[in-house]
Amino acid sequence: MSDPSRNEHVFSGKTEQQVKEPGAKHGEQPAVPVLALKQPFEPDIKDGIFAIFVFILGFIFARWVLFYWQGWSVTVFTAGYLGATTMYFRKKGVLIPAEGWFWLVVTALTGASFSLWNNHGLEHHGVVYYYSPARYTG
Amino acid sequence: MISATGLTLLGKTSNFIGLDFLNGLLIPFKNFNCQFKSFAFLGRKKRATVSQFFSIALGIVFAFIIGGMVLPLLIEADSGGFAKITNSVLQYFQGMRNEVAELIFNMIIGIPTAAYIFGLMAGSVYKRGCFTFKKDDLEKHVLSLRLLPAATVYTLLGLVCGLYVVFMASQLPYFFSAFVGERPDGWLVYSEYARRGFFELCTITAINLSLLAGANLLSKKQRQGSPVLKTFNVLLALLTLLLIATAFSKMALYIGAYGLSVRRLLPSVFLVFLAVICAGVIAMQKRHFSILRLAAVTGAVMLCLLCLLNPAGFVARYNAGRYLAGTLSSFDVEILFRGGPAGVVPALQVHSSTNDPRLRDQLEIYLDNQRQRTAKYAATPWDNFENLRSRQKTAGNNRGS
Repeated sequence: MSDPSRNEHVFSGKTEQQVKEPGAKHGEQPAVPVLALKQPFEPDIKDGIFAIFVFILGFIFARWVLFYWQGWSVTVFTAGYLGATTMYFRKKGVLIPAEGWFWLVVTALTGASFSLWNNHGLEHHGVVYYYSPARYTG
Repeated sequence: MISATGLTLLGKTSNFIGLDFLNGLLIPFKNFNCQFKSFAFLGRKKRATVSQFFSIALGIVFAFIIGGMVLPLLIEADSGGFAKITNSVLQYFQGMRNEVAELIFNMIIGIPTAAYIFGLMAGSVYKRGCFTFKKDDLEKHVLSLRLLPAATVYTLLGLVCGLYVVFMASQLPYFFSAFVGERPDGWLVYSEYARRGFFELCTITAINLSLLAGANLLSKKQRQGSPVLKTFNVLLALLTLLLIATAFSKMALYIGAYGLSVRRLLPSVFLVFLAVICAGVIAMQKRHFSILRLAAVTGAVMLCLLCLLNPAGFVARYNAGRYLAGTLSSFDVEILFRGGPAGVVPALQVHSSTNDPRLRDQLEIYLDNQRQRTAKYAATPWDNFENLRSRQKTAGNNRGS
């Protein structure tokens, strides 16, 4: 099996072009050219637009989520975060594998629970739990 | 993010989940300036647009300055109609001034937060700074940990299993009386009996799982080629399952006597999680899979269900149901307070059914408290369905305040 830590291949997160390419073997083509891995970050217009959207997300997080962790604001932030992530991945041609979708759904459901219940007694577990899969999977 | 872009060390959630997690923590910092570079790119691309934007903004600033000079004069010359329009606008701006400091603070906090989120996403997509740990190096490290001779591991596991068997046999009345719903001789208080035994058993369970992990990680002989190690793994996992079952029965005894609370529900759920892990350890002796992957998925599903199923509401409904059915001698209002507005509906049910004046008074205090607390969140971003329902249910309960 190939090894992502060697920067040679990735198992998932393949580009759409790669999947469509005739004769491309499963998991044997790099999602990003190997040479690009050590190059400095060179953004394109998609990154620019996404940067603006993420700035709005960061502001929403600081204003409504960070010091409160309750109510529908957390759900709105989660929806924005996950929506932005999936959209950005799509625009960048990265396909989310099945396991990625699992963690994404877990994050979405946990975020949705904040607009339903206060979950007293579960607050700290909920925040840590919400944050972990969001970072692990987004 | 790590999982969605295939950056996990083995391409999926594995026994290296801790390092994958740490990697996810480091990627945003390694790509912290990416968002600013993207902004700079936009600035270069859209120089004309940005220039036009600044021209308009400058016009607005000048309009504000001139407006500030002219408006007081116009108000002075006004016969009444203009003041009506301007007063509401001025009031709005005065209200906004109070929020300006907070907005600036939020923006300052929002900048690094956004840079962190963008760094994580862009870093994962561009695979920049994502390979902090190398799979081959880690596997070498894991192999270098295999220091203990097989005989040492077998002796250790054998003695520990033997110790548990002897201890359990000698403590049968103490440990297993909870299964039949009785306290052993010498214990007069349920809570003392259940609590003491419960935490002892939980500690032993944690030690056993650590021992299993350590023995399989440090043994020179790998599990696949050692039927003896497999047997000890199964034996220790079975003994741990027995301890978990005993701890669970103690908790059930406690809940049966005093009712449910979130603090009693969470350890019970945790015991179920530990039982799944032990069952996984047994299954691992026949099938090859990552035990930490099983733990991560099981833990995620269980906690997600807990968040969605409103445990505080479940606790309140359970206690109210048992109290009204006569199987619980008292109704603990303190548990309702700890659960917040989740207990409003069950509290109203008990309030309308009980004849105990003291309990009715306590419940009225609780309902008033929740009415005031949930009113604070009305029409704010921190409101939710539970608060809304609580406000509706307690709307006619405006007593004493």
